[in-house]
Amino acid sequence: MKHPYYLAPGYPRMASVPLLRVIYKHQTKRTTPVLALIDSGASVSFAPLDLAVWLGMKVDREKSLDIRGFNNVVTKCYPGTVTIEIDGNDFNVPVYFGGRSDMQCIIGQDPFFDMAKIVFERYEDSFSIERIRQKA
Amino acid sequence: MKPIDLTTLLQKNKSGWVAVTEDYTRVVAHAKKFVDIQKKVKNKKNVVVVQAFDNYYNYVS
Repeated sequence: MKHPYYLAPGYPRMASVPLLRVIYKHQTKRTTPVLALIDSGASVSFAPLDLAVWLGMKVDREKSLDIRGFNNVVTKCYPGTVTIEIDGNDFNVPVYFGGRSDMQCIIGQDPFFDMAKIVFERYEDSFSIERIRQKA
Repeated sequence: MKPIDLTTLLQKNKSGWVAVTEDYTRVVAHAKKFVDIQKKVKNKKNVVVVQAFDNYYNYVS
């Protein structure tokens, strides 16, 4: 399914970003749709820790991951498996929760990019996501 | 495809979370924390929440 890019405030230029409506689900809890960034440069998916709190999830504090970003800034994150609903399709993916509430919701490569064909066509202000069959 | 323009909707909020109508015409609520924005919109339909930043252009992962 094709999705539009979003124009968001930016300096020195307005930003054009591939945001996508995602519903995070865990057992009976669900979020309202959240605009998450589809980020091919991110190894894994991230979300703020208080999203896990809202879903009533227990994150695995034994398996923390130090997420290293630009300038080697490190944020400690904890994994938890959630269901993310995209275009009516459910995907079970590990998400690393951590950081402050302003940590960006990111859908990264592992394993989401193995579950869907994702094509960025920024020159047309669009990107597409198509669920693929799971490898045997 | 026509991009969706959030610049006007996000003009007043530089941080936290913003809830907007799903046709992206109106801000419904704002809160500092994700938990708080969810509480504010949990009975509202056709709402989307987005993180507010003053600058989306300088993001790198």
